[in-house]
Amino acid sequence: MTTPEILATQVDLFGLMTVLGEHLYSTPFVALRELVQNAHDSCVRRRLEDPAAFAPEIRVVCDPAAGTLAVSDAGAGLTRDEIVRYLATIGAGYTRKLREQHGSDDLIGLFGLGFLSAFVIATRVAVTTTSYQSPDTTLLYQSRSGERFSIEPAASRPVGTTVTLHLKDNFRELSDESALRARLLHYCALLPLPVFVGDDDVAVNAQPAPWRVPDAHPARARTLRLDFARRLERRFEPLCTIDVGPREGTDVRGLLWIHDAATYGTSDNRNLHVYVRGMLLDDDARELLPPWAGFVSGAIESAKLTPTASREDLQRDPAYRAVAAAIAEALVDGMKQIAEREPEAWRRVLLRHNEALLGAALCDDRLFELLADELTVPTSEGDLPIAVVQRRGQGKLYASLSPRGGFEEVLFRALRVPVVVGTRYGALPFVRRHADRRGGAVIELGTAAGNKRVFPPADLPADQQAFLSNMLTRPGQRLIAARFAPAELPLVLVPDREAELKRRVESDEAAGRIASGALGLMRMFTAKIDASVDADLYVNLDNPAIVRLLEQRASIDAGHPGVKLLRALVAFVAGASEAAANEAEGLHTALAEYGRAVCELLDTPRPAR
Amino acid sequence: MDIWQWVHDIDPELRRGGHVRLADLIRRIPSATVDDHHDRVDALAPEALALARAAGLPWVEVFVRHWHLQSRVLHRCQGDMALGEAVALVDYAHGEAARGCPQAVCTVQDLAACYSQVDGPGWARERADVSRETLARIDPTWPCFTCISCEHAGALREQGDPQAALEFLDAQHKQLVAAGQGREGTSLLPERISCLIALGRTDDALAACEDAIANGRRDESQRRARQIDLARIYARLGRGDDALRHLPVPADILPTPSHYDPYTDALVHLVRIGAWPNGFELGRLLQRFIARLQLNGSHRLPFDIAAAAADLAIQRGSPEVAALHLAAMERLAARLHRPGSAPERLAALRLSLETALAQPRGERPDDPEERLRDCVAADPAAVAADPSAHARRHAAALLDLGFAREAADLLERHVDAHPDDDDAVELLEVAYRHAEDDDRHRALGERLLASADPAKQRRGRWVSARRHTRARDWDAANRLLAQLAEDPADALAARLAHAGNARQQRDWPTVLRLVDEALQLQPDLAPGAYDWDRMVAATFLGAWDRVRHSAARLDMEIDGEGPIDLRWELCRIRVEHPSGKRQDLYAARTGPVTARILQISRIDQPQRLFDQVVFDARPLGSHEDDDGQPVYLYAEIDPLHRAGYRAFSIDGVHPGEAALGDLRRVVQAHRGSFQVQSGDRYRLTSPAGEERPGLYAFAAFGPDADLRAASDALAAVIARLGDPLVWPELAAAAGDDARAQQHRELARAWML
Repeated sequence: MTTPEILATQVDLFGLMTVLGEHLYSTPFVALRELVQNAHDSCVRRRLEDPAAFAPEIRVVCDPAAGTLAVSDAGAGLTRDEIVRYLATIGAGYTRKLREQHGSDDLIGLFGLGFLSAFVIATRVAVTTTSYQSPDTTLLYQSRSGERFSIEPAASRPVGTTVTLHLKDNFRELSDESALRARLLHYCALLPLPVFVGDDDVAVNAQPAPWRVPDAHPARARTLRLDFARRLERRFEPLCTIDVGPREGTDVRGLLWIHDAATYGTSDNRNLHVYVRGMLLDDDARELLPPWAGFVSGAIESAKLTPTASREDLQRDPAYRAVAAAIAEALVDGMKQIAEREPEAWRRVLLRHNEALLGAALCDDRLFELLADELTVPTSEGDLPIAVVQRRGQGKLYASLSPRGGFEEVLFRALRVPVVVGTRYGALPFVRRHADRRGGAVIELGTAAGNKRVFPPADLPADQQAFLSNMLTRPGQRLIAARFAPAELPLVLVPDREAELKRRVESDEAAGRIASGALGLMRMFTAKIDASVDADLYVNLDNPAIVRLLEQRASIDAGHPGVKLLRALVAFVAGASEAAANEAEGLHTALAEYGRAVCELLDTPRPAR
Repeated sequence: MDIWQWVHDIDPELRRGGHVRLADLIRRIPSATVDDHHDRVDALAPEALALARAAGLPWVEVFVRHWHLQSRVLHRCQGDMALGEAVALVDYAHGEAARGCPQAVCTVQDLAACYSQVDGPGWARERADVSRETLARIDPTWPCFTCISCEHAGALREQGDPQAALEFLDAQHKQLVAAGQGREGTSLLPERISCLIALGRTDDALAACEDAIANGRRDESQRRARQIDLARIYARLGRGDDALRHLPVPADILPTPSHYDPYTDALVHLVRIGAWPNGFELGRLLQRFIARLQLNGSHRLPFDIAAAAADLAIQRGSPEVAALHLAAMERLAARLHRPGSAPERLAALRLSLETALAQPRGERPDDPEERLRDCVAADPAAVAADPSAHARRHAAALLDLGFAREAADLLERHVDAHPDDDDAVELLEVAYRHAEDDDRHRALGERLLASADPAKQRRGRWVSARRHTRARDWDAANRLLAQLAEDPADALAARLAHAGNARQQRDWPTVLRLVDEALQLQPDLAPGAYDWDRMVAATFLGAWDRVRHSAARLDMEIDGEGPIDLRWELCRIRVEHPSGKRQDLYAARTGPVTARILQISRIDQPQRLFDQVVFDARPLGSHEDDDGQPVYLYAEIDPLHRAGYRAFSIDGVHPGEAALGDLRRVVQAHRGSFQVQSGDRYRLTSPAGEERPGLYAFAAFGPDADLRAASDALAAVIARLGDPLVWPELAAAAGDDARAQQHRELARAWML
């Protein structure tokens, strides 16, 4: 046996290992990826340089008992000279040189750092290699740290290389075969050369990416796509898939899929696998998907994306933005196609992701057009499509920002008109946009403009107006004669919130709690508010009691029990409308007045029939 | 108090208390705000606010409202528009309910920011006072220290003293360093860049900008703002290519008006060095900025942008466009709190405009500005010959360039003088919609209606009727259309418009009457949508002769008389259940607008099988059947005839194909329908844990079916099977309580 030759790498690796181990690579599996990538490039090199035919293959074998992991390839192998030049010199990978020579896009390596990552996870690394240039010579490289290494002749093996890692204790998980298989399936999904695990007969990447399968029958193409998505998706069952094809300015290709799991409007379950030259570079590039697409995952490849030095992220350059734009386009187009061609899948998409799509429709006009009549909005009568809400509201879309159970809800329930729950995600902006694009009116209950629509003012002679006002209003309330449904409701009291604000801001008490500069600015605003009225009392001229009151106005005064009952009702409806604090305080008085009026009526003998 | 620490602390607290959704929202609203996703903020905020109120968490309410205002005011430049909420929030945050809220100071900043959107320089003195007051109450460890410092420096800069602003920023930075918060100094950089640019220290501005990009905030809004700053700086340095490389495309910044002013500045300087074409597209873009800001209740920013736009317009030989900007600036100047330099700038612009207008008209490309110029410079004799054509052309040119308000002004004057110009009136309504000005739209209708001139009244009716129709105020619209229909000139058009409304109201007698009348008025009227509406109405009303008449007009000859019940193609009908849920069901078309449902519908709702329905003949979509024939999907309008079927589920272990055939025959023997719902993937597990193929099917029976006999006959089919199939609801409806009970128990045991 020859004495091994001891040589030294010309770099102090100590600091570099720390950088690689702690900063550049987030999981030990990344080192595995680097080794598979080297094996791949070695096969490509052999194809480029060696005229002899060979069957390129990569095999990853682990031995849990021994705690080893070995990556073998049938590639070009290394001569002694090449071991020294490329295996042991930082940043001088052969791949880069080869790419410059041949302009080959099949090569993955970029930085010449890949091999060194082995030392992040291994206590010892052994490489046995036979170069196609000297098929009779097999060499064994061994090193414990990468700093010092030995090279010696070894037992003969076919052309190619095996890198064996003796794993550090904390990285023994890499010697679990099923975990390894799962990882490699992700890393190598798009690698053109077959990658095997253990004794497997079938490569983990045997199934090609669906966009590389030419002209499959539509049904088969759909199955291929769904299978591919299932293989890559860890969290959700894919519901349907969308192709991403090259567009202007990008070479991006890939597949997106929509999750078959219910989400809430703002759930962000986006996930995107990005492959560059066939190798997984980033398994969570969600930022490449539009922010509204929380229900979408995918896998794409592009040679124009540039990895950062960590090889786990992408540079945010113009190519990146072009890819993001192309993906957004593909997604919108794809959703349109699903709607047209896969009605069953489309119904499920709508069912699963209604809320998220409400938000999405607000972000993209084309999606809005696609979804405007398909989505449901939350209403007081359950989730309903806008067309239904609109029809049941006689063409109008009523919406409320008040908490549930308020007076408005009671009123509209009586009318059997659904009210859109404006406090739920996306609902109000969506109905507004719908009305804006498709015609119709959004009536926001509880706002001044909304009240005008709900309680349309009606003409009333001045003397009758004055009479009603005398009978029914308190100071600060303005009577508005109106006609509205249901006719059974005699009146509604709506507080003026701006007047309340003015009172508070202009009170002396405000100076005690708000700094003077800010208060000055606030009062500049409130000075312009007309606060002569603090609540509007809408009186319903279609209500029989009001009609009767007006008919008999000549003989009725404020002490009449009927008037007292109506006045008490003002306090009751104000209490129900949650904000008319002034009236609510008067609730006690109103109850007393109500009781007295009832007593008077009971004491009044009924006319004989 | 560190507000982010508070958010961090309250998150687990909210989650423990079951407010998971609220916890998510209060994280998402700030990030959506700083990433310029303002549509999302609007979508999220009402829900977060309602949840905070329902949970009785006033501090969270302040947080949500503050961030919504940040989006509305700081990013979308809502001035007057947001002032009410800004004042109300300061009041609330300083009230009893929210006592001690750490974001109370931020609400004051929101208010100051709101005034800075209204008129930044005009309110600069007050803003400086307010921020000084706030800074006195906090120290550099508060995260808002840097925001309020920037607000103070901005106020100083806008008072015309960028040097003082810069010195103030230096002093604040020293305070940060002394308090161990030196890294927060990057938050002062954006304002620093503005000061340095204002002082003409372009190289220093570039260094500050690079520092901000490398070390400052990385959200989308800041990223875009710095890109714009870089473009402003490079353009000043004469480095056009570098500037263009960084400048975002207009589409990216249009949703965020806070970028408009610096973006305009970048464009002005790019034009100056010949790196950006000074064409009408540039003018149109700037006018979009101006119009949006004006609608938001901002006065100074659109004034400044209009000044820049006017200069550029003069430079490119479009003094007519500059004159429009000048008029807008005069209107805006009147609303400024303190005019500052506005009068001098107006005077200077007037002067250069006069000079430009006095120049002989030069050669310009044939573009929308040139068309505007043609209109302005038109020969008065030619205008007098056809004033309507001229006014419409002029207004169209204005609309094309984004001057919707100006187009509306012009058309209003024209329509007052020429109330018969129908096209001008309709164009005026378009202008109102572009200008988002419903008040003027309403006022026009009312003004014309109130006129003593019958021609104006007639126009007023049309304007108001169309506006009411758009707002779905049917009664008001139809009243006016009925009045119009009495005038022979409008008899046809008003009837058809009214019929369209009645169609939407499902007032079938009115639809039929009006379309009939229209066809009597003009029998050779071209076939159209009203024929379809008429067939729908006539079908509901049993007026089969009218259905045939309109069908024939549409080239569908239908022989015979009386009810139409034909065998046409397969289609799908979208029905709406009383629950509001919709379902698409296969159906056979039986006439132009009728179909019979062939598919058993959801069994938790009244059954629709064999119902004859009237549908809207505009397809909602289509798919191809196995033979490649399109199967159209239509929306049901209402049922014409209810078949009154009832449907029940049959659930359990698949009995095999032979028994399945027997079950089907039993149901059919009772004149019912049997439809399998499940596929191969439906699997059941027996109580003993064994897996079996499952069957889930519907059986529907007519109203006169003997359900007891049917249930018994089904039971006889499966009596010999070992595994169960159950139909508890059918058994119950058949009055067989014993079987119903037995089937329920089996269903429980098999977890059906």
